[in-house]
Amino acid sequence: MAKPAVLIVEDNKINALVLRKAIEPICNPIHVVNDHETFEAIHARIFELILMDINLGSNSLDGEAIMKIIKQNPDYQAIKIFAVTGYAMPGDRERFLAAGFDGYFSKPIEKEAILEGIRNAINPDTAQAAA
Amino acid sequence: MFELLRKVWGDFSDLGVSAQVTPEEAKRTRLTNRITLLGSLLMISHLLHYASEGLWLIFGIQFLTVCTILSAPLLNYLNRPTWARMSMLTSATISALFTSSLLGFESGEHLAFFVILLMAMGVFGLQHWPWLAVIFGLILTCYCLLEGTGYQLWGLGKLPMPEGHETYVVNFVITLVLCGLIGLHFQQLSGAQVGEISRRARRQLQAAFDNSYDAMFLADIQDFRITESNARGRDMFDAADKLDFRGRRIAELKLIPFTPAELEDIRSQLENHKEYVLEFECLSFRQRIFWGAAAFTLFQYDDHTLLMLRVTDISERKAVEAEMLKARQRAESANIAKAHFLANMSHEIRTPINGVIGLAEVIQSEYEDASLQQYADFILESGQRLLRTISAILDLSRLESEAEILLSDTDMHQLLVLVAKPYQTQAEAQGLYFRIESAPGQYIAHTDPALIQKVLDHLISNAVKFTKQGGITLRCDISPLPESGPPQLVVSVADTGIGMSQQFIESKLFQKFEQESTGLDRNFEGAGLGLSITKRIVEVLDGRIEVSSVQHQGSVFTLRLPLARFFHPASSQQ
Repeated sequence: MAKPAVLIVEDNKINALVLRKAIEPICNPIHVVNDHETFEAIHARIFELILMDINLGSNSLDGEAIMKIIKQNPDYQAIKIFAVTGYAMPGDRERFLAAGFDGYFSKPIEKEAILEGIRNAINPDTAQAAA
Repeated sequence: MFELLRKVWGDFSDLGVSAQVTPEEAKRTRLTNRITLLGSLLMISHLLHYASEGLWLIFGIQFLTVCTILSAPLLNYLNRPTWARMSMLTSATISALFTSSLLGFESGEHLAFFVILLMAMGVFGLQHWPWLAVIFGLILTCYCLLEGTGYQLWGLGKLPMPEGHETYVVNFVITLVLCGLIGLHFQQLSGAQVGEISRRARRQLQAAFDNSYDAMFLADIQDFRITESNARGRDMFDAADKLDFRGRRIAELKLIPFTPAELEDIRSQLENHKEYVLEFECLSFRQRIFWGAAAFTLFQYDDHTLLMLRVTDISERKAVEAEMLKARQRAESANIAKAHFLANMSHEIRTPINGVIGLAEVIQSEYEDASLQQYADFILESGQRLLRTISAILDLSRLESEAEILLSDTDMHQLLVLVAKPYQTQAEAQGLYFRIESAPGQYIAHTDPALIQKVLDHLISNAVKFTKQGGITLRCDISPLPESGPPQLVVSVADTGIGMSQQFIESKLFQKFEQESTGLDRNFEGAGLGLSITKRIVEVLDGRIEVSSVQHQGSVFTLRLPLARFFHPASSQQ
């Protein structure tokens, strides 16, 4: 049984590694670093979930803008998108969820919380069907 | 004696003079008073004559005349001018009839006599009161009619004639004097006087206009051309004299002149609402720009409508306002910048900590080596501590800029149990006792549960942290009613830990970044930020925090919070 594909959008390679290591037990993580690569990746193959950093540096759209573009495309309606970000001031969670993210996790990440979120988000039947 | 007479003469002359406004009026009043007094004296001298002759009926009639005539200036002085005139008229009528009958005139002669009297009045200014002549004409007619039936109708009988011609002459003079007085009195209300009142009103209006502290302009309502300006207006607009404004339009007083449409709007507003107020930048003749508050009003002058413009210089106020606005904007942008900075700092610190903690966890899960496991533990511990410190600093900064408080009725027992739970486990694992002395539903505070939770968390974690033997006691209670003020909810966190010195409590406890033991041998983790945050939160919530401590015996932190409801244990059992 193949694990569901999860796209990690994260410009910091250390944090990408941490996130990849955290979710590896239940997913098949693919890592990209900016807006352009994100669009290429979701165009090339089907993802169940995207873990999206917000601040992707000055050469990329931020995670929120990317999320909105993806959500506008009817082809990608099935993709769930979680914000995984260092923006963790009071009100940030509400702000990101209101913007359209399907979930919010602050950094430093809590491994168990993220795994729980992923399990809830990904329909096991779909995961098996994709396999 | 002479002095006394002079004083009486002077005082009587001055009756009612002070009430007059113009010198002419004062002069006329004084003249009237003097003639009145002279006439009265003349009549009194005659009264004595009648008395000595025993002609008491004539004496009575003359006495009445004297009384009425003397009452006129007094009534005038008492500000009863109409009554004064009526008494004057009464005395003149009595005197005229009396004199006429004394002279034994026939009907035609009466007519001639009254014509002479009317002429005398006219000389003194009665020409503006033709109706008075009509009244006298009516009296005359009645008198002439009565003449036919004699004096019987008056119930007087035939008057006894005094001896001597001088009596008639004196009476005639008296009557003339009286008629003249009537003329003088009525003149005060005659056309001449009305003209004077209106002139005075105009002078007052002019004075108000000229001396106004505000700039005043009169303009034509049709073409908005300025017809009149006051001194302040010329000052304000740097005009040398009135001529500078001649032909100017109201619109030109404004830096950006009024457009015809705006003027039309002003006109229509004025016609509907009577006043139009606005603030604009004005332009003086020397091209000086200043802020003015303008009020347009319409007012009726004689037969035509004028536009009045009042301008107040509000440059200073505007400057202050601008300064305040600038200060507020600066403060607002500083606040935004601060919030932005805090958010960014939080983000920039959390990002690398994510790597530190995350990779330590990766090492822990991927390597079996015992020392690697231990190092990873150290990294994790340091990372967590760094994170707590950062969170505390951010909390404190946020509380200092904006405290968003959400007050609600909070069951403190529930909150205590909730907060205490993890620490209870920890304390019991360390062999400490952990007691919660309160009951559910009894202690309802009016406070922000999220903030107070933070406070309790700090206090309880501190208590556990600094206690190595004995234990922790949490207690909820209503304050033993102090002498004054409403009862408060008291929550205390007592430990049997290391305690604090009095000096430390007094000088440093609630300051930022202080912990009793400093230096390399610090045993206890924490940036010392917790208590200053705690104090700040409690203050924001209208509460108080107190501490008592004995070194090596323990500390008691006591929170006093506003009480929402109080359930007496006895009543709550019902």
